[in-house]
Amino acid sequence: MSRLLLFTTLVLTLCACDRGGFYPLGAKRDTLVPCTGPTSTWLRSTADRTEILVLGSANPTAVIPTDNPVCFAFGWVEHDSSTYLEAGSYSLAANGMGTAAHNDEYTFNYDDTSAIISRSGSRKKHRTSPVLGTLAVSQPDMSHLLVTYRGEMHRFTSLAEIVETVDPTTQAGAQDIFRLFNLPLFTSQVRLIGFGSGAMTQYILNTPAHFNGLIANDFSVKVDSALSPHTTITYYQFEELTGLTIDGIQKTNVSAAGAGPMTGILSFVMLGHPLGGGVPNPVLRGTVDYANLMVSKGVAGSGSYAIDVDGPTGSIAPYTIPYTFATNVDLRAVLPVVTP
Amino acid sequence: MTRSSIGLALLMLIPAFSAAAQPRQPRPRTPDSTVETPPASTAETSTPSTAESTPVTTTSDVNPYAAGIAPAPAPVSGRASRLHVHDVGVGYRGTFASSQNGTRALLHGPSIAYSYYVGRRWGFMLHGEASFPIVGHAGGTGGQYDSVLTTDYDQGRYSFDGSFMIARRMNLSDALVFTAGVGLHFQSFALKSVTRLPVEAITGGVAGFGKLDVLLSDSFSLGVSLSSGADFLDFVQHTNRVTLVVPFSATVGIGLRY
Repeated sequence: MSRLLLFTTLVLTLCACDRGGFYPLGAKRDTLVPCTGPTSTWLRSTADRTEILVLGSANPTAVIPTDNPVCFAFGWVEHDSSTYLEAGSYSLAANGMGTAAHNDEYTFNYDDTSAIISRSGSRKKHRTSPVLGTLAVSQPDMSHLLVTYRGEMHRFTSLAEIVETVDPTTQAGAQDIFRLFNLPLFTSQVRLIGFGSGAMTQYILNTPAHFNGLIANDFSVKVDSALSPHTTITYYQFEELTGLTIDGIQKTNVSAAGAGPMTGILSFVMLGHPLGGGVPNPVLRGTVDYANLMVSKGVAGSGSYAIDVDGPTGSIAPYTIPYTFATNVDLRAVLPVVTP
Repeated sequence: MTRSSIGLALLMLIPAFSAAAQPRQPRPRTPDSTVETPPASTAETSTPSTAESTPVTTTSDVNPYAAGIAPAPAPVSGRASRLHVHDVGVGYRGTFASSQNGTRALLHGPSIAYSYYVGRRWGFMLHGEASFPIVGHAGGTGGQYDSVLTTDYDQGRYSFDGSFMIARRMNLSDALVFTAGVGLHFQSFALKSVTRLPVEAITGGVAGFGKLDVLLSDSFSLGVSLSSGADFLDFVQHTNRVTLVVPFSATVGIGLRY
């Protein structure tokens, strides 16, 4: 046993053991190009996942010239939190036809059974030539968007519409708020190469590594040591999805076996449809406290989250969300499955 | 970090070397072939020291069935004593690595080395080297890269290398000795950065080593060595597996032998 510990320590010390590598010399950790202007975010439920579309335009049908593309991100979060994301740019003609292009694809497969050191964690696939996808966009109303992407039609709903739909005065509503709150965490953690695996030891750095948000600002990550891989993720007014901002520090104080408590409080703001003149419309504010959550085998293993929401009319009683909601990212209660 | 890795490398190799370095014991004689007893007539009158200094060996008195078995030959007293040679030196080391998807990288920088030889004409050899890459080049599908690594990989750049070899010492003249060895090789290297993805591997394969020593005195020598290897085993089992790592280094060092 002591030999195994010695060997494991040596391996972790010498090498982050990111099995997703061997990476090219000079390759950057964060290759995401964030959006530079107004954006809109759209969601869609399917039977097993929540699809996410981020467009670099507040008006999704606006013309985007090919010589001046804007940001485009498409992906999904499965109910167990497995995540896929592709991020790039798009252009759109006046007839609603356009092209989306991306070079980077990110995947995270939820795994709570295999040993942490053998998990794949978050991975990036970089394509030297951009992957092009045809795009057709039409907007039947302000809250919905019909998008045909790579030949498949999706009927999306505006994130702002969903935020306004959620009822923060009920336990079920609090759970949906928690699921919405988790979406940007999942779509950002999928870009944190090695997240959820032993490869997180690559973040044993003197200074934290920073990752851009899709829309604005960033988050950072730092791991203390290989033997004590306490992980600190700090969100700096982090905006990954339109109108959903997260700020605060989240700490995971686990052992090398991936067991231990979490601490930290993240605050969030969720905006509804803009008010007149484009004035932001904060519908939900609140905090998520991780103090009662225990991590086991590298995933939420017991305990609960404490979510404290302020609705449009003021403070609402805090709710306790069981740890199982970390892998229950099912928004169908507020975002039903619809056929385009 | 350096101490821990070198320590483990030594830990892995010490048992083999310890066995090799122990003086060889004379083959034990079996009780039924030889028994050492003092002569019956003198056993009671002689002092113990006298008895120990003048043992008389008989065979047939104890085991008549062993009467025809000849006594074991005495150890050869003229055999050369085992030689131990320790070398420390500084050098320059390069590491070429290629991966399954065609990514290629070349790292190079200064190194410090230690080697230990134990044996006679033939012996075992341990060679360890720690290097600190400062320049990197890349090509292939991963894209071009030519830069000083100290800027881009500011969180750590190191490579550790160990070889366990069978070696042969050859006296070229009274003052020149050439040592060559082949054996097993393992290596790890890591480049760490805040902004860039880590470049790292732990690999294993075969090693080759050659050293030319100029004997300065009965105990000291000045040596020049070349070492290389070829690693085909990727112990991290990357998705994009490392298919070949070729380290090569040149070292100048001082040797101590006894």
